Order: sequence, then C-alpha cells, then structure tokens
Amino acid sequence: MSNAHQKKRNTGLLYEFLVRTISKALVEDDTKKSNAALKILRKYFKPGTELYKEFRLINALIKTTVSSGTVAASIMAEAKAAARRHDEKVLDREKSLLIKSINHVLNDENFYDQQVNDYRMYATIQTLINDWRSPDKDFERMAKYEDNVTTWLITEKIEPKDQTISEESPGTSRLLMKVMMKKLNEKYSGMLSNDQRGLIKAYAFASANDDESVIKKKLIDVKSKLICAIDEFKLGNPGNDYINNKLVETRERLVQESLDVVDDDTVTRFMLYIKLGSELETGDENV
Amino acid sequence: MSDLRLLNTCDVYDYKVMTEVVTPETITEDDRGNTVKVPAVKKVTMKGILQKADTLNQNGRIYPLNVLEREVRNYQKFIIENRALGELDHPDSSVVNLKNVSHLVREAYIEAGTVVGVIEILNTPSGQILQSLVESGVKLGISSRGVGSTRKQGDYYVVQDDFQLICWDYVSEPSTPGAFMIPEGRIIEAGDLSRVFKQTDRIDRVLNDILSYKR
Repeated sequence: MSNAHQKKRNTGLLYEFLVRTISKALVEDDTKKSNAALKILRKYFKPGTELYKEFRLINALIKTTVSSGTVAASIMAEAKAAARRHDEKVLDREKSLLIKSINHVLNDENFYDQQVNDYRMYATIQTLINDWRSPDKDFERMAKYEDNVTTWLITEKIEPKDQTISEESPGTSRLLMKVMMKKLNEKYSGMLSNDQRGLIKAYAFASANDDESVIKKKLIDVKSKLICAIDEFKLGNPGNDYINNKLVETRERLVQESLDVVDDDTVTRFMLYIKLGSELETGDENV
Repeated sequence: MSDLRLLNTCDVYDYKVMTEVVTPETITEDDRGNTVKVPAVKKVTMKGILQKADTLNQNGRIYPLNVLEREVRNYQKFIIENRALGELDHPDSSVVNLKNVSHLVREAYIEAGTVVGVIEILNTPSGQILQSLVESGVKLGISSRGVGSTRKQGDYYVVQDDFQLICWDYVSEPSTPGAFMIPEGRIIEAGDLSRVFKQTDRIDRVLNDILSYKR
C-alpha cells in the first residue's frame, strides 16, 4: 500500500513554499535569502527535469477548469498516462536533492509550515499521482481521490485578485501586509500621526483588494472635518490675515478635491490635509 | 526616524553695506548753554549671501536647494512679523536669545542657488558691536541655525528633508576651510521646537506645503 501524504515530498507544495519564501524575503529586504531561494527554484525546476514535469502536471490539475465531467474524465486519463511516463527513480532523487538544498541553504525551520491556498487539493493530487505509479496501490483511496480531482476540475476557481486581503486574511497576503505596515511604522514612527498611518493603511488595503470604498469614506471624512476646522480657526483668529488668506486658498482647493480617482498623489495631498487639521486643533500649549 | 539635532553652518559672509541716515547729526545747547553735538542716527543694512545650496560648506555639509527653497519660503512669515532675528556668535540653543540679538532679516530670497538676504543691524548691545565690526571692515562669517538630520554620502553629509531653519547668526570669519567644523549639536526634542515655532508657524509651514504641491 502507498504511503500517506508527505508535504516535504509534495512537488506542488515545495514550489509554492519556495515562491512564498522569495516574496517574503524581498519584502523584508533580505536579498541574500531571496537570491538563494530563487537559485534553488531555477536549478531544480529547470525544464527537462522530472521535477519540472511533475510540477507542470500538478499545476495543470490545480489551475484548470473545464466545462463538463466528460472533459474532466479525459483529462484525468491523460494525466494518469503522463504521470506513469515520468522516471520515478530520477524524480525521487531530484526531490531528495531539492529537500537537502532547502534544508541546508535556506535553513528556515518554518519553511514547510507556510500556508498555501488549496493545500488539501495539492495533497490529494500528489497522493493520487503516487498511487497511479505505485504497484501496490490503495484502490479505494485512488477511486475516491480521482472523483475528488474530477469534481475539482469542473469547479469554478476563485482568482487570487478577487480575494479580499484584510488583517484577518490567512497566509502570505496577510503576512505581506503586516510586514509592510511594520516597516512603515518603524520608518516613520514619530513623523506620521495615527490618522496619517490609518490613511496609508486604508490605501494599501484598497489597492490590494481593488475596493476604494473604505479609503474614499476616510478621505470624505478628512475633507469635511478639515473644512470645519478651517472655518473655526478663522472665526477664532480674525486678525491673522497672513494665515487666513492661505487658509481660504487651501479651503478652495479642498472643496475642489475630486475623489473620482484615488492615487498616490491624492493620498499625499490628504496626508498634508490631515497634518493641517492636526495643527489647527493643537494649541501652542499642547505641543 | 533620525534624531533631530541642532545644525549650524559657517561660511564667509560676502556683503555690501548700505547706510541710511535716519536723523542727521545735530548741534544743540544743553541746560548750561554749552554746545552739544548729537550724533546722526544711522540705519545700517547689509545685502549679501546668507547661504549656498548644493555646495559643500565649511562644516562638510550640503544643503539641497529644494530644502533651502522651502525653508526660505517658510521664513517669510518671520520676516513679515518682524521676528526674523539673529545673534552675534553661535549659542548652543535652538531658541534665539533676545539679550544677544544683533540684527533683523528684512528680506530673504533664492537667487541662482543662493539665499540672498537684506539684514538690518539693530541698535542693541550686540548690534552695536556688529556695526562697529562692519564699519571697521572686519571680515565676518554667516551661519545658519536650524534643526534636522543629516545622512553621510561619501566624505560629506547631506542635510535631510526634515531640516527647519531657525535663523542666521553672525560669527567670526572662518579663515581656513574646515577650521570651523562645528559638529552636529545636541538632540532637539519636540518641546524645544515648540519654543521656536509657535502654532501659526507650524500651520503656515503645512499651508505652504499644500499650496506649493504640484499635481
């Protein structure tokens, strides 16, 4: 009987773990690690290798969506034939060398614990491919997994771009966002107010989720509060023409701010508006 | 974020003196009928280069033009409000000490990558010393005082975007390049800055940033 699933020997997962390691290292500015992981990826998943062939097969089964059960069944038949054409001994050796490289070069104890979307399907496909090749197969499991993969092939896949990233999101998206926010907070601590940091955060989430509703709400809020703050300051300081004339001009600009497009420029201007609002509310004694 | 430190510069002051007689010398009689000469009241102003942008100064620092342009723009409020005061010799403080004030900046503007200023010498104890030095043809040094951080680039330090100009002071003329290498001063806390820049100064600074923002 075939062995149970081992994530360390799952070609699809190993590829995904390497890609995530590269992304995380790039965000953390760890060039050494990202280069090392990239070198491993290029070396072991080079076209022509058995690992590359198996990865392509797994990737096709993971990503493909077909319209009917008949087409899915014929793909399954093709996939089974392709899996059996792979040189199992060479593949096993390549996989062992890849794991050895990962363990020795990257030396990351959390490498195999990274979260991957559709983990269960990666596990199912790898186990099924192993069963197809095995002389001592578990027929009951093979039948069940073939059925699962066939169903998966006709299921509409959710594209990553449609996934909403929030602080509660699982996996790499949340990790990337957390790392970015941490770096931002470290670099600009003391320079940015909480409101300014909140605006940047909303902008980052808006870009990642392709949803501007939250950031637009924040911008509208900044705009209305600042208009009130300007009016109040002018009322309280009627004699200060030098500042009041500039406030009038700024208020006009603010009123004309169109929020149809929210881009880097818009956020930069609103960062200044937030700073102005904060200065208008802070008296000399409160600095 | 880097610590904000007191940053002083020191460069040779290249200037022209303009003397305006406010009240001419008069001859009058005292209570006993003796003839008394009342000296003329003069207003001495000087026009010269206060600071150079994008140039390595005597302190091994470079002030980028965009930083100086912004600071000169922000300094206009001080000029308009007759608060653009400076001292004779450098104190180790971010606050301008009224006891040592010697001059008032009347105009400051950028011209060909330099900050040009028109400065009026005040009739204060320090101002009288300054006027005497000027009338005797003593060579002077001009020094900007501000707070900010620097970043090392090769052999010199570049003043960063967080720089805030406080004033320009007169100092002894630096005869040898590098002889007046004044190290970065003490760390300036937010409380120190609030004594230099009041609320309307800070508002004006943000307003200038908003109104000069190019879309």
